[in-house]
Amino acid sequence: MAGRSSFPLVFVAFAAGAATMTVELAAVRLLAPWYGTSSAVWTNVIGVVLAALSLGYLAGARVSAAPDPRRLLGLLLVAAGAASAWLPWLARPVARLFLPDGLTLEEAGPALASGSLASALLLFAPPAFLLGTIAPLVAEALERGGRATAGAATGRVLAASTLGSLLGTFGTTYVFVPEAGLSATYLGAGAALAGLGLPFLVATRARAPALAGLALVGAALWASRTSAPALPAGVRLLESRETLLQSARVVESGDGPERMRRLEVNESLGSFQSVWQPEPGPLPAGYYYNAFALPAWWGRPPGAWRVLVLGLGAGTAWRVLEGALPPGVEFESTGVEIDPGVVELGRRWMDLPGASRADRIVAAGVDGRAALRFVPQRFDLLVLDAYQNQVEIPPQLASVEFFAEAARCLASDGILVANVGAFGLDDPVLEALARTMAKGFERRVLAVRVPFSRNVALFARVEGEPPDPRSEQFAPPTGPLARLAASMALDGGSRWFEVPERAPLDDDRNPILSLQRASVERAARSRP
Amino acid sequence: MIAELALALAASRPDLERAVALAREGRFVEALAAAEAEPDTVRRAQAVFHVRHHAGDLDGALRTAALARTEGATSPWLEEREAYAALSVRDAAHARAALEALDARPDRGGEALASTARALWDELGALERALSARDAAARRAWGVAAAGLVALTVGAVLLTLTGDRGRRSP
Repeated sequence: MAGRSSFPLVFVAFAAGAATMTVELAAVRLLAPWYGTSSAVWTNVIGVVLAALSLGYLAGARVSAAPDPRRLLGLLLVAAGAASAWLPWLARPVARLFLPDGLTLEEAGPALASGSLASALLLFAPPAFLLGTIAPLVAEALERGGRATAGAATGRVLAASTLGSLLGTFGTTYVFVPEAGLSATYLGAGAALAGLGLPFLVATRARAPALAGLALVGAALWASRTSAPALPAGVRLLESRETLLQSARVVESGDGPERMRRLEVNESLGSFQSVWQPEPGPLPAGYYYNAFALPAWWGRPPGAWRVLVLGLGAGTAWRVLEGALPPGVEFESTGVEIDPGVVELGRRWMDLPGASRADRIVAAGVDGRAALRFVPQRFDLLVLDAYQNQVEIPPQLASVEFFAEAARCLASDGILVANVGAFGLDDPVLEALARTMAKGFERRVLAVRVPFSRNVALFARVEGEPPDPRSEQFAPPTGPLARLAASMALDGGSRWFEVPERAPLDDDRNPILSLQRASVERAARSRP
Repeated sequence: MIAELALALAASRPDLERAVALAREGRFVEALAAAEAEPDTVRRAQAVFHVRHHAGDLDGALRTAALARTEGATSPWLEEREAYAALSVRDAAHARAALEALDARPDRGGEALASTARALWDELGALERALSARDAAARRAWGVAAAGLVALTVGAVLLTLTGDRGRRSP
């Protein structure tokens, strides 16, 4: 029954479906520089878009009774295009309404959930609502034009819209945002919607709305661009880009040998994903990476160390190890980093070795848990430094099964060292992780506070246990690591975790994300 | 650094001097033991704070200073250092308590400390303003979120209850 003439209308449904998913998936990336991409932000964005779409469906059904739904269709398409095209420009002022400058990640915590919800409502509800009105109008136009029965029209519209959503989903994540960037993605979606709406307006002689819509979208094409939060004084931006997974940027501060580069992702708020200084070796006090080098001093005979790093980032762990191992000890390493964009930035700005180095193998685009199944050898040291969304430890890297697999990847005298962000040695996240690690290794686990930081290093050994921080074996004889080890030896600077009967975290039940919320709330309560 | 020097110069007892010297060498365990052996309560608090602060145990240093303040075993130097350390971990309440204690002293710890304290007050003001702006922003956000969700719900209910206009296509 549906002839060739129904194609333009069905294509509109397809395009609206694609644009809806583009608006939704790119929405999180648009908010990321302020609120990050945590589960809470995703939930807020998806919830707002679904609510607005639902209202749009109802509104579309309501106005479909209009004498000429094609005119309305044109108007709504152009309006949805304009609303989408202005999102890059609007994101900054709206986000700043709910998240002021000058806060650290820890301090901003309480404002992130509410701010991302309010921002999502102001930014994404309007285009999602407008896009929701399209499908009922298309179905009505199909049915009224005699091209399909109500059931057939609805089925075709739903099928086309869902296929469009598929294109929007895959295209936005894998092509549009990483290749073209956020501004171009939204501008492209906006221009496409407006372009689809114009013929309907022209056909129904709605010239004034057509011109107004063109002006709005045209102005957006000229002026609507994303703008990142302002950098602190003395900090220079070297490069920023949208990677497959996050907004990433490399910034630099200081001059000469004091120069430091930091790779920051998403909201950052003073935190960093990787750090670089001109010379390899230990970083200044307060950087947890230095603790990764301590196991090399714990009595292993000289020779090439085999090191696996899960969460390589831009290669900071390697840079520190290169200048902090005992004399005569070399290491060969495999580094696993889930974000290939971070690896590219590391190679460009942070001296991360390229593919030609046989002793520094980078596995990019691979999750740390999956990588454990493919690593060919047993390692002497496994460095675990994997976070997602800035502050969330991925559950698959925090389960007893994972730690048992990690222990199997280690040589008989191998050691695992993990970085954990924690508010003290009684932090609920740290307790759960340390006990889980102890169960996975079936050995006591040592937690040591990293001086001048909110980080704790966890050490577990396949056989035996790490040396006590107060023992002579724990500390290198001289140098910056000796000072680090000495500060870790103070009372209250370390804690042993015994093997529990049952691991708190496993693949089946893993409340690590709620524990992290509890940790932040507990820390906030401790400060009136 | 001036404050460290002042502390070192003020150290008239061997335990305090030794603690400062050992901390400078990075021998923190021995330094802490020496600090804790200092018989004078005020100097002991100063020495323990100094060692823990240098070792990067900022929470431990702040606990030491707060306890000393509660017990009246503090000094202008310790209060100024306490405020400095509290601000370095962005603990506004702790910094305020230390600075108020310093301000309450008749001579405010002398001109040198008073000058540093003024800078710390400025820093504290900026931190408190940022935290206050955050709280206001969070309230604004919840207000907008509540209003938006109510509007969406009311809109959906109205559109559902009123139905269509009963048009029929020709």
